Amino acid sequence: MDTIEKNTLLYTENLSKNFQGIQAVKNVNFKINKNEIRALIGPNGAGKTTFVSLLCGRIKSTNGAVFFDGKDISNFPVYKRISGGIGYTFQITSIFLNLTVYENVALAIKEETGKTNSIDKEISNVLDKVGLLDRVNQRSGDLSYGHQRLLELAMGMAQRPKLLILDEPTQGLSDPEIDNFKFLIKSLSSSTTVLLIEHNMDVVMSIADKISVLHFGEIIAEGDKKTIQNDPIVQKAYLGD
Amino acid sequence: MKRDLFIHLGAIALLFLLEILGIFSDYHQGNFARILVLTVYGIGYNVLFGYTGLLSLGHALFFSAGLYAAGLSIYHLDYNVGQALILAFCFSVLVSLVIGYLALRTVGVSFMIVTLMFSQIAYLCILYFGGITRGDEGIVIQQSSRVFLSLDLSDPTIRYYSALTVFSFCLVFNLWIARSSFGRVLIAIRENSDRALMLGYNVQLYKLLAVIISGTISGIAGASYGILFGYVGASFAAVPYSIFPLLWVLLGGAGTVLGPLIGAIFMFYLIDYASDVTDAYMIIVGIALLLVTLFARRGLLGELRYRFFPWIP
Ligand SMILES: Nc1ncnc2c1ncn2[C@@H]1O[C@H](COP(=O)(O)OP(=O)(O)O)[C@@H](O)[C@H]1O
Ligand SMILES: [Mg+2]
Repeated sequence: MDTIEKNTLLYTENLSKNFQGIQAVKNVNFKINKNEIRALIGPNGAGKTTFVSLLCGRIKSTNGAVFFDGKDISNFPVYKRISGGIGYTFQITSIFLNLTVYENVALAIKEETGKTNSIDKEISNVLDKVGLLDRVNQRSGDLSYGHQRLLELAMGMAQRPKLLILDEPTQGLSDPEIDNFKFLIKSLSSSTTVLLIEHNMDVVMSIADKISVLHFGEIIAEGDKKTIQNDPIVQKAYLGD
Repeated sequence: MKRDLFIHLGAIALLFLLEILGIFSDYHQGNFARILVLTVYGIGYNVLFGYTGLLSLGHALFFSAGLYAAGLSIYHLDYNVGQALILAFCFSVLVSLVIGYLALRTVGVSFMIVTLMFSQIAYLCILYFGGITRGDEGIVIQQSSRVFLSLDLSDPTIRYYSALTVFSFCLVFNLWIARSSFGRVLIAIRENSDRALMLGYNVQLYKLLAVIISGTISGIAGASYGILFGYVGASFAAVPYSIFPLLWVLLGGAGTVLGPLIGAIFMFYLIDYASDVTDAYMIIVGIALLLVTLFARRGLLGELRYRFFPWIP
């Protein structure tokens, strides 16, 4: 790679994934800087979920390498990547439905955070931010779909990751909840790098520093909002349709 | 947070009181000594099945690992009770480590089958090495060998207190696990292991630790059973003894600390009374089990927790 500077948080080299015949991700060279908010867009089936799953190790790559925080993590098991600072929230909500909101967030907080008191404080803090504090003792399976999405986000934040990967987090949120989401992500970026898969172009345009466009497993364009909006290939492949 | 401690210590105190106040008849005293040791086995099973969500069909292997380690070392090597218990403990840890390591390469139905196979292998080995184990007939541990700290463990009252002591330690240990962050991770694995992994937990390691804890408690139950009741036989390694703890746990409430005790008492007396009424007592037992699964799907205590007391650990 030509431009790997010390403020690069994560980059990939020729990252690829084949599913029996389908090449879901093709030779992707991707780079994200510290404290950046990056949006990853592309039509359904473009390979966005597969790509970020390769980053956090949920799916094994067929080829290529992932470097995170200065280390080659290509052969790291999932738990090691996560505890090394990659947070991931699922596209399809995945929480502990039979446990309370409190317990869900408590599980996301790393051990070292310390005593019950400070954990309780941290949990209240995070839940307050996403607006679920009044539901702390509710069974998370009893929450509405939108609230479950917010809980998923709260869990991602409670992990205090260096890189937070969010897979279509605003799906199913109401407009005020989306506004709060935008505000939250912006406030996170002082401490966290965010990689955001998002279909809602309003969200992308208002919070992303930079946008990458994935199409048939390849990154076909990358740049700031203007560049992407004016890119003819992107317009043809994605924005125009 | 304190009321759960109160209830569990209260249950232990009650079991002591029943004896101290002389409420038990000889008959029930003997039954309860047996039930308490079997409950320890159920507690061990519950750690893996109820808390971690792994269904094993081969726990008789762990029970008999402790049973035979203690029994054979007393019978053949003249170990005293203390030495036999230490050996049984170490052997149980080792066996559960090895079996856990191998069986956890599989999940779901395969895990059930693999644990069943391992336990059948152990059962057949016990029969095959009949020269040492005396196979089906089993070995009887003489009263003179069943002495610990100069207490005669074959005395019914001492036996009851011994069983209650082992039970109390295991129950409190289980309660501690259930309330700890370690236990919370086990529950997370049971509820959604994908998510637990994506929160950065080494799920395989936690599962292995759960097998080791579960297998070792089961082994302690086996060793206690052999020593307190003086008999070590191959029937304890056979399939029914892998199914019993599953039934106790299901009846009492999977993933509740007191569930195995409730389940074991319920089933023991159900069989006891049913066999007074008819020779075909298993029909009555079967019907009762059916009713419980129909009307209290989560087990007796599990249902109470679900409906009224969500704080029960
Ligand atoms: N586990 C899988 N097995 C086989 N094919 C898969 C699997 N996951 C995804 N795919 C395929 O890979 C392509 C990319 O899917 P995905 O990464 O989910 O796209 P996106 O998130 O951009 O909508 C699709 O063609 C999809 O059908
Ligand atoms: Mg997707």
